[in-house]
Amino acid sequence: MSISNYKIASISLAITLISTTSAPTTIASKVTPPLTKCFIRVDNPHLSDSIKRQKGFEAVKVNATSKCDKQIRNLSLTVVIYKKGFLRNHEVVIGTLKISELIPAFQKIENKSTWERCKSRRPSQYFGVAYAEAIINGKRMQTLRVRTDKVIALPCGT
Amino acid sequence: MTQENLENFDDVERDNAYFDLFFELEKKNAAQYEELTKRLIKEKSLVIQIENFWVKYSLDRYGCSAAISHDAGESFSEHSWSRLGWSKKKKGKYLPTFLAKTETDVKFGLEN
Repeated sequence: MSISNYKIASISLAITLISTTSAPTTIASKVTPPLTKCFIRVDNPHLSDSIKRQKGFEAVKVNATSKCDKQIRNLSLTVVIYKKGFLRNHEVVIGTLKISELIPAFQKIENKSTWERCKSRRPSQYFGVAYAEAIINGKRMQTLRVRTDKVIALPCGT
Repeated sequence: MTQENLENFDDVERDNAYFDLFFELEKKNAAQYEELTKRLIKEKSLVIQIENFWVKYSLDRYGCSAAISHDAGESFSEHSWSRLGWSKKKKGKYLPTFLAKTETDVKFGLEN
């Protein structure tokens, strides 16, 4: 194959890739918006002031809330606190809040019980992930995992 | 689902009440938690009753999970998991805190 043939081949490939990647944009513009709007809010990892003030030790904490525009049942709202590791990230603690009763539309549900006691003051980097599962209109729905905005370095070894 | 704004939203009053109960239980039940820790390390899994709930603790390689039953032990749903460390020594050291934390969650109200 000559150099000019290589050029043609790469141009054809480039055109194919562009047309392939541009296709979903056209499809996406025709997709109808979701019928249910649910929001998960997850705050950044922080050291709990309450524990430090009361007992002098520290704990890393991540809170999350969930709110839907439709009534839901059997909600489980899970928060996972991760510590960044050298090769991979480690789960430190997982906390799931379960509510089986009917939750009216727009009621805010809070998971504020996910925390881990600091075992030392060794600086570590933390982030949190929250996700929810619930029955909405008779169907079991699951959310995507929402990650905290930042990875926060805290003087807290776990 | 999407993410709303990103400020922290601690509820100081709620946290004060929660951790008051946690410290009270940790202190009051220290001997009981030590005993449960020994049993759990030996048996790997155990079920205890806390108020009207049944709590199943299960040890795995790195930590301990707590599952809660609302129907007298017929079915359990995952409540929490905590990393304690790989060794028996570390598990023994940190399990009492996990036991106190789980009991606090149950007594404080699982929906709070």
